[in-house]
Parts: sequence; structure tokens; C-alpha cells
Amino acid sequence: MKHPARKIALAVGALFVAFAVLLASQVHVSPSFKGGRLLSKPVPTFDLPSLTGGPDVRSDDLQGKVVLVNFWNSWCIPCQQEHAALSAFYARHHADGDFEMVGIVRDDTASAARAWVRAHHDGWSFVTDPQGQTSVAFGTTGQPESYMIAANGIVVGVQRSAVSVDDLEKMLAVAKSSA
Amino acid sequence: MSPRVRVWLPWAFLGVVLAVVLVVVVASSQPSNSPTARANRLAHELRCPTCESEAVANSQAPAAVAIRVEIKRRIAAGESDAEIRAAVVKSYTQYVLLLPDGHGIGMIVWGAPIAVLLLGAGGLAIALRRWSQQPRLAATAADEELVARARSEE
Repeated sequence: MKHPARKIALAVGALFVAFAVLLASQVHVSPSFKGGRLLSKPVPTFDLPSLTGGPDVRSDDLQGKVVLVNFWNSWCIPCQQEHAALSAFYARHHADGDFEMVGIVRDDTASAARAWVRAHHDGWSFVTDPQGQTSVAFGTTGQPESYMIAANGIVVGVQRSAVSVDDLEKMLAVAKSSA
Repeated sequence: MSPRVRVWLPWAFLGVVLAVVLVVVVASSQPSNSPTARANRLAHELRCPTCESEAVANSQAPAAVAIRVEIKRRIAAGESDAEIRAAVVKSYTQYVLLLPDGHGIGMIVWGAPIAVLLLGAGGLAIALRRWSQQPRLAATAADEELVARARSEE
């Protein structure tokens, strides 16, 4: 090597320029959370108190069933918009022995959420998440968020926006086929 | 006292003073391990998942509040900082780390400046060595004559 110092200087310069370009390309990039890692992963365990005075809902008790977990609250408009789809989906499947639906209240007062449930006569389980522990474990960023869990405890469907009956049926089909 | 001891004594004293100062500074700069300090430190290391580049510690977004509560709960349960970090990353991916870790892209972010520094230092060392090994130029008889002629013409 005739001029090792020159080659090293060139390598350093190239690295410096590459690093500068990398940083410059990120100046106007606003990082955003693209969603958690729950899809195809085991559902986080939870043990949550009932919103309406029923028994606690434990993830362990739901094993062997297909479960739709829906994070929601009474004041969010998309939650209100998806309510009809959830009701229709529940009416269609609640008689299935191997299906459960759980609504987890996120970022709301228990009294407001309870009033909503009573006003709408919803039949599925509703629980509160007082410390937000379960919403963190699911990696939620807002509401509504829906998670379809197969009978083997693996999350097979995630939707971070209002769901339609069609969305839910597709997730349910995946859950039933993967069990 | 021998002259040799007299020469070395101030240096030895200076060394002891420096060592004591170093120990005091290192000891006093150790971060507090109280639960509150740990929770605060972790909350500053984690990004609020629903905010624009804001630490969990500084945000009132529901997700940030829930993560702060979760940090405190896990500290109370006896988990280490690394375990708590890993638990939040498990839910929200590496995105929540305001300080990149030492894997993947984090390795490049931490490693590139160090690599550039080391390569630069290496290049400088090689260049200085080469320059120091080059023979000094000596004036030839012709050079001397040229200078003498120029001076005589002044």
C-alpha cells in the first residue's frame, strides 16, 4: 500500500459523509409507532375486574376459546361508530360455545363506561383496567383496538381502528383455522 | 531527605490528591437507586408511543401515564431496569427507546462515530510516523551557492 494514510483518510471521509447523509435524511422524518408485536404472539396474561359487577375476567379462564378483546371507551367517536358492528358480531356468535368477547375500558371513568354499557344493553363481558397495565401489555396507543385470539392463546388478528362485521368475521375465520 | 525523594514527594502528594478527588467525584456521581429516581430515569429513557418525540416522563398522554404507572409497579415488584425496559419494548417495540440500544441500527448509531474516531486517529498516527521517518532535506553545494549569490545581490 503506497499511501495508507490517504486511504484511511478517504475511508474516514466516506464514513463521515455517509453518516451525515443518514442523519440529514432523517431531519424531516417524524418517527411514529407502527404497532406492537402482538400479532402471532401469545396474548399477554390479564386478570381484570368486571365493569358491571360480574366476576373478574382472567386470560387463563379463556384458554381454549376464541376471544375478541376490544379496547374502547364511552367518549371516543370511532368506538361509538364500531359499536353496531360489535353488537351484530356478538349476536351472530355468542351462542358458539368456544367464543368470548371482552371489552376493556381504556382511558375512561368506570361510571361513564358503565352508563354506556347499561344504555346499550351489551351482553359481552366488560372489564376495567384501573392501572392501565393490560393496555400497556397489549401495546395499545388508543381506542378502539381489537385483538382476535385463537383458542391456543395466539393473537391472530389486530386492528387499531374501528372494525366492521366483515373485519371481525375475517379475523374469526383465521382464529378458527389456526386452532 | 535524599534529593531524589525531595523531587518525587510533591508528585506523589499530587497523585494522592488526584486519586482522592477522583474517588470522591466518581462516588458522588453515582445515580441514585431509590425507586423514585429509577422510575424517573426510566421514564426519561422511554418515548411516549403516541407523542412526537416526547419522553414518557414529560407527557400526559394516556399511554405515557399508563407506562409510568407500569414502571412504578414493576419497580415495586423488584424488577431490574433492564427487565422493565425489555417489558415495555416487548409491548411497544424498540421504537420506545429514546436511547438506542447496542443492537441492529442502534449498533450503527453508537458505533459509527467511534469507528470514525478510531480510523481518524489511526490515519493520523500512520501519517505522523511516515513524516517522522522521512529523511531531513540537506542543502546541496548548488543550493548553498544559489543562496550566497542571492545574498550578494541584495
